Amino acid sequence: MDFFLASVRKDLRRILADLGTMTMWLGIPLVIGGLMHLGMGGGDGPRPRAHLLVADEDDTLLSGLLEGAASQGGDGLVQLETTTRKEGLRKLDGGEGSALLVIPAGFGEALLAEDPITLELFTNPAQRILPGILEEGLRLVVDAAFYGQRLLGEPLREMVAGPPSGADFFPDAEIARISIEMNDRIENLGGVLFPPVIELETHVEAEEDEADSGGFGALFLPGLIFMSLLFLCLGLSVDLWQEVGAGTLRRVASAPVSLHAFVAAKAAAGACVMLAVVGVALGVGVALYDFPILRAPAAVAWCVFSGVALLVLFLALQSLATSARAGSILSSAVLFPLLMLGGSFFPFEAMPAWMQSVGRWTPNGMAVVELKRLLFGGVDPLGFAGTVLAMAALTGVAFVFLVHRIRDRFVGG
Amino acid sequence: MIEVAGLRKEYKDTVAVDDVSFVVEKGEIFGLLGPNGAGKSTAIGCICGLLRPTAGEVRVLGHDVVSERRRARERLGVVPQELALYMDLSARENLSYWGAAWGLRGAELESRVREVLEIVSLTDRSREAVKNFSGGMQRRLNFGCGIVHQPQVLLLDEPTVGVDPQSRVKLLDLVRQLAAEGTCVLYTTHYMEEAEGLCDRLAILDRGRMLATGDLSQLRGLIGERDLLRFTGRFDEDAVRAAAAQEDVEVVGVDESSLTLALSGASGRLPSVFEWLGRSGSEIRETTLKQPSLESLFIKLTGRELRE
Repeated sequence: MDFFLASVRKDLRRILADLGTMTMWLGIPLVIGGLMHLGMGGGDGPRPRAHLLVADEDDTLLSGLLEGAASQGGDGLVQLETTTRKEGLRKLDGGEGSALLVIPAGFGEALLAEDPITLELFTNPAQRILPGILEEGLRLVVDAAFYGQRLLGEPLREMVAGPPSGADFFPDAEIARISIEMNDRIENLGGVLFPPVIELETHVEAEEDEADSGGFGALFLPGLIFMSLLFLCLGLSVDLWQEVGAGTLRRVASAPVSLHAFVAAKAAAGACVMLAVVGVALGVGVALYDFPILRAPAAVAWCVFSGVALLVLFLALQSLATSARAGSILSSAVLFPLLMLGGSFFPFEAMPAWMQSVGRWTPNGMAVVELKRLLFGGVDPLGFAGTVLAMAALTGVAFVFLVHRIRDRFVGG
Repeated sequence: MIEVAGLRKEYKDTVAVDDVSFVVEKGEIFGLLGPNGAGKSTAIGCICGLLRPTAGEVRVLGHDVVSERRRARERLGVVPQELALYMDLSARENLSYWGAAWGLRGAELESRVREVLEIVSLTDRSREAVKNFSGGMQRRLNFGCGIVHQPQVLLLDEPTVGVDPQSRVKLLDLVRQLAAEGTCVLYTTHYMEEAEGLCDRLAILDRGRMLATGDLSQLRGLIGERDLLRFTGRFDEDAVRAAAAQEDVEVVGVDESSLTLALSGASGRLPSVFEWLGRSGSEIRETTLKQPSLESLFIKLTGRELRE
């Protein structure tokens, strides 16, 4: 035990003596996180809006109504701009709009006469989601126009036909008659339509294992924490080669102490550093992103536990290499796929399904998933116990393998 | 004490140490002398338990280094050939750590660290990072880390390689002092003068085999009082051997380009040696005369110089 504690002290002193390198390792996730935060607009940027260009070549009351209906996207989703066909196409080519709707001349007349007529919608190939929304929205508007025509066709035809001959305006009595007729028709229809037999009530519910606190922090911070831990593990695992190069590993091996204690001390020193890093990171989460403070201690404990598991795995990886350089290459070759798949570069929520299902089985992926559950709720005790056991078993195997490799490969057998 | 009996260590196709046996008593400095690659470090590795012997037995203070590994190591100190220090820690921190590794703690550890800092003359700079030390200071600290726990058996693997003359003298004095205090010292080197000046007994190793063992006078007796004459040039082996037999001169080694002869009073007999070598058709370009020494013994035993 004395030797174990002396080794932990020694390793911590050496880590502190080389704080610059460690800061560099930790700086990488911070920079990446900062860039992501900026890239995501910090979560407070304007919502994306569909930019609909409309070329109204009909320029009638009905085409105006259609134009108005098309711009009624929920919550100002659609931004409408009137233009001409030529100008609209030019703007679309320049990527300035999501779609161009051309209402052809004769649209109003054809609609009232129940003649076939075609609306043209040109979409921007550079955008995928917003033009799709516009297309679907316009289909609804066209359907609504058809039913509107069926319902109010007659009074509308009277209005489009204009005032009686010899008059410049509709007489007040005529306007009142048409209005009353339209109102009666709508009220009659209302008796049929309302109250609706089927009602749709929409609830937005968080997925069981997803964050119930939205925003950048919940989405990215858990992944970023494990990115930091992975970089930290890479930096700390290189120490194995420093011990080999300095000859200290052989000296320890000739001492009347256990190599297990020597390696365990490295993991313990790493745990102390991880405790500090995760503590700061989750403190930021609590302060800036409203992470629940009462859940933070369990989250810190989980991060440190998983971090130590990852450190032992990386040390075992280093022990497989034939030189410090090969160790560095091998570790990096494992690190970056783990970062990509394990929810550190991109949150699982933004991944394709196949990548999610692979990523959630990586050691850091499992850790990120459980961290989110610990922070935002949804921990399944049995599942969590299974993950802990799996991590512990993996760490145990890697630890035994590592000590065996050190004795066999670096000390001399 | 150290007891080595029939030690053999193989690596795949190579035999690094072959049938080596010796005993080192308490208070004795025993030298393992041989060129690089002779098997000295491998033998040390087997004795300190880093390497598992292929065959044979090694006991330290009566404990088998394989089956009683921990007990054997408890009173064993090792000063490896390469530095084995934490460069970013101070001298004091290094000594404390290695002391703890050998079971020291608390006041005893503190006291030993202070003593050793004095012994290796590093008290003034004890809190400075080792990476700022000169090579000689690092060597002294490396030595200090091997003796911080007051070992009864000390293995020194070429501890003076690359050390400045001042530090070398200091280190050799420390080794003598430890032996005088009763420490059993096994010292490997390829420096003849060092071995002659320091060791009570010696074993000469070459290519894993022990060629000779004994104290200095016993080893010198093996070569007698004869000098060694080394020639380079062009030689006819048969003719040289025939001529040497007539002149009562021992041919230690001969090939097309070199010849080594052992004879007494060589300096006075040089003219006659040149004469009969000339008769045997030899062409001599360079001549070296060596007085009886470990080096001449090594040459006699192996036909090669120690540093070749």
